[in-house]
Amino acid sequence: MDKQKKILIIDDEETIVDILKRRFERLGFMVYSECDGAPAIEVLKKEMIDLVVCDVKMPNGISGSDVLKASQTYNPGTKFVAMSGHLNSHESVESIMKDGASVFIKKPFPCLTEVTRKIASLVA
Amino acid sequence: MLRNQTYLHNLKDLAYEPGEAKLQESSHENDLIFEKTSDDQIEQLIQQNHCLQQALEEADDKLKETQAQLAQAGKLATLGTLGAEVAHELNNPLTVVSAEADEIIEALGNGNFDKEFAAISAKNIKKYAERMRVIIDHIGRYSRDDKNSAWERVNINRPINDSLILLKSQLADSGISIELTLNENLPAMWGHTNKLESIFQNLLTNAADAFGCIKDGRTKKLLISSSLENTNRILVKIKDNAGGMSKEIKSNIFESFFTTKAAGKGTGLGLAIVQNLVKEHRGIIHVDSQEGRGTEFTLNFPLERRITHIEK
Repeated sequence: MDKQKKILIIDDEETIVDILKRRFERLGFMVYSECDGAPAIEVLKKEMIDLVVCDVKMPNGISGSDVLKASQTYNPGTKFVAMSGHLNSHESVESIMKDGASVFIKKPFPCLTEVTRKIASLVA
Repeated sequence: MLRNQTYLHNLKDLAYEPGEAKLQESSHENDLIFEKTSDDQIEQLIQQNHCLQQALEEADDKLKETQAQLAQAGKLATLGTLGAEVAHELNNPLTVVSAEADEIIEALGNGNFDKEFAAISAKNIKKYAERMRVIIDHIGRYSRDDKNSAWERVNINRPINDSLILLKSQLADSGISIELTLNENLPAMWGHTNKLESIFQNLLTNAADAFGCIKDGRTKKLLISSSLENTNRILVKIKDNAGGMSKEIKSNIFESFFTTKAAGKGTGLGLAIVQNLVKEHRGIIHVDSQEGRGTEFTLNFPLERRITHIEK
């Protein structure tokens, strides 16, 4: 990587954030991470993020769609990866893809290595 | 004399018109014949009354059985609607278990095995596997037929917390914040854990649904509290600031098959089941509601059992 890419990871499950953080650090990324939508939007306002990996459904009123909109507003052109473990989230997945998310990844991940490589390749 | 009293009592119970019997009595001139005929009639009526009482008892038993079946059906219906939420509750820990296992496999594969990192991964696997076990155990207990579980000393906070295991994610996804104020020093009450859990599951699901039609941007709050009243009763309050209900709706909410939910969403059994289960605990349920402002359910349970037959 010529210039260190910045990735923002958001999931309300802290351990999932930790696992992805470890992986992306090993892949050479500068990692920002949050467990809630509101502080994630604050990061997007301050930093030029290259890649956002975000859970679709999150508590406290800020969803993945809200983070995507903030990303498009403050970091236009940033690649956005949506994740979800909800079975009944087809509607939210369709809607977030239509709104401009680059990739959707279903939880649990079939293989962590493949998934993180696929995500990283979006900004390679 | 005694018999005549019984006769009159039975006549009253059966809603006979006493006037009819008296007319018959006055038509007899011979007192001896009158007495004999009357005794026969009394005997017959006693028999009829006995049969009716027996039939009533049988009908009552059948009603109780039907109510128990409805409660079970209601629980399974609730579990069905919670299916997707349950899957999500399991998918998150499963993501951790699977990803941490991948971490270990990869480290072993590329020769970068670090004991410290492997220990973190293994601890996470163990922790999240345990979380899945608790959820699965909870679903098993919830769906099990209540006939096979027993009355026991229960700390009311346990079924409250357990009912939140399945609903936590659904409530959070709907933007509802939960404020729990549970008295940690409550004495255990005489109760049935599964039945108590059904009560809270139904009331919390109703509260979540009540917030569904709130679009005015208010902060959605659900307050749950437990406390001790007069050293011998347990109070549980579940209060929401959703839309409340009209007096007309409030007067019908405990009726079976009464629902204000969309077709296919509500069975109309939830609160009827709740009321029955509260009664089984010799408790009282009270509802306060203000249209547009919210609803508060107050449950009041005695600590001690007073009637033994509820254990059967």
